Amino acid sequence: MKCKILLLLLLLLFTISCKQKAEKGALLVYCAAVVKPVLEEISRDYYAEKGVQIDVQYGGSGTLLANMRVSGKGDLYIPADGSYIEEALSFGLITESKALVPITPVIAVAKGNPKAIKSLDDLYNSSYKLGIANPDAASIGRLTKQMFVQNGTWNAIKSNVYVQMPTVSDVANAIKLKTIDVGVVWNVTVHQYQELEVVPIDYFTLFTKYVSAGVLKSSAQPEEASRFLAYLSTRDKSAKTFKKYGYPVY
Amino acid sequence: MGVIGSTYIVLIIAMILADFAYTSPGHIIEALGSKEIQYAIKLSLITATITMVLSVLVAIPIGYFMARFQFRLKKFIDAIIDIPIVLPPLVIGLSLLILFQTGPGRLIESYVGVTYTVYAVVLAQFMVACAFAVRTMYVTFAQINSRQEQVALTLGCNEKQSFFYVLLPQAKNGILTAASLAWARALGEFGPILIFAGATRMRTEVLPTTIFLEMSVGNIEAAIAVSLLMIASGFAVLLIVRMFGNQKTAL
Repeated sequence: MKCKILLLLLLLLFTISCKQKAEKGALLVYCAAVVKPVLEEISRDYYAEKGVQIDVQYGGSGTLLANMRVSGKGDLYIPADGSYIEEALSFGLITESKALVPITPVIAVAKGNPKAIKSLDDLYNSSYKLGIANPDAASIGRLTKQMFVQNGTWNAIKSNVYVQMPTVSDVANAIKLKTIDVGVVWNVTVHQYQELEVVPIDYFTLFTKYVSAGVLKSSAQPEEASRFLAYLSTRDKSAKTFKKYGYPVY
Repeated sequence: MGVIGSTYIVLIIAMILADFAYTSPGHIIEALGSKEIQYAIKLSLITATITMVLSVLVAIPIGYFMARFQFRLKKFIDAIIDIPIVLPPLVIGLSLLILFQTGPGRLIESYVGVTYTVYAVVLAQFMVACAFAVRTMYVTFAQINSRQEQVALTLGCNEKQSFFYVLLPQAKNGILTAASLAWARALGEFGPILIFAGATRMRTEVLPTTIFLEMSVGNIEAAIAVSLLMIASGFAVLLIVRMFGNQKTAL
C-alpha cells in the first residue's frame, strides 16, 4: 500500500515537472489552419529574435472563435478571414486588430488535372466528387456558401457536394488522397501541396479576403501580444515569410 | 482511499452539473426542434445499433476461440485485437481512408461507395467498438468453467450444441455488457468519423459531429444541449444493462 502511494506521488511529481505552460511570458495564439505553415516559421523567428515563445492552437476559424469564448483565455486570434475579427469584436473579445495578407478562394484539383476540370460549371456536374469545407466550421466553408448563395446556385451546389470537411486542410488532403476530385480551398493552401494545382475562377477573385489578427481582451500580457501583432504586420519582417508560402504580399 | 475514489465520481457529476448550468430547457427543446439535430440523433441511434449488433456477432466467435483454444501466435493475435483501443482515433480514421484508396479498397468502392458515406460512419464506429466487445467476450468466456460443456459432450451433445445450449446462456450477462459497451463507444465515436465520413450536414452528421459544428458557429448552448442528450441516452442504456445483468459477471 505504502509503496503504491509512493509510486502515485512519484507519478504526480513527474507530471508537475513536465512543461506545464511552456515558458513564462509565452503567448497563446488561436490560428486558422490555413495560416499554420507561415505562423510556425514566424513564431520560430520571433522566438529567436525576441525570446518570446508562441504557443499556437490551430483549427477552423469558427471553431477557434467558439473555443476562445468558452475558455476566456489566450492572447491573439488569427482567422483566415477578417469577418471573424468583426464577429469576435461583436462578442467584445478583441481590443486591437490588423489585416495582414489577402487570400483568395480557388478550385483545387490533383496535379495534372486528370479529370480536366476547367470552369465553375464543372462543380455542378455530379460525375465529379466535390468537397468543400463545412460552412459552419471553417472560414473557407462559410465563404464558399456565400459565393454560391450570391450567384443563386447554393442549392444546386449543396446537393452536388460529396463531402463537407472541418477545415481547409482536410479538403486539400482529400484531393491529395484522391478521395475527392475537386475542392474549394484557399489559393495559399494549394501552394502548400505539391500534389495539387489551381483552376483559376474569375468569379472567386471577387471574394478575396484578408488574413487578419487581433489581440484578445483576455490577454494577460496585452503589450507583448500587441508587439507580436506589430511584428506580424510589419512589411520587412514577416512579409518575406508570407511570400515564401505563396501569399501575394501587398 | 474513500477520498481518492470519491473525487473521481464527484468530478463526473460536477461536469454534468456544469453543463446543465450553461444551458436551459429552452435550449434543449430548441435543439430537439432543429432538423439537422433530429437527423443526427436518428443517424447516431441507427449507426450505433448496427455497430453494436455487428460487434457482438464478431466478438462472440473471436472471444470463444481466444478463451477456449490454445494455438500458436495466440499472444500475437491477442495484441492485434487491442490495437484499435491503443491507437488515437484520428489514426484509425486516416488508416481507413487510405485503406479504401488501395487496389482492393477501390474495388469495393466501385460497387458500394464507402468513403464519406453513412457506411463509413458505421465502419469507423465498428473498428473501435468491436475491440471493446471482443475484450469483454474473451474475459466472459474465460471466466466460465469449461467443465459443463465437457459434461454436455459426454451426454451426447455435439460441439455446436454444447456451445449454443450450454455456454452461450451462461454468457448472457457478458454479451449484454459487450453489447452496451459497443453501443456506447459507437455513439461517442468522433475522430475517425470526422476524417473517414466527413462532416456533411444531413448526411454523415452524427451527434458528436453536431456538437463540434454547433461549437464552431459559436452556438455553445446548443452544443451543450446536444451533449446532455448524449449523456442521458448513454446513461439510460448503461443503467438498463446493469439492471438486467447479474452483478457477478457485469464488468
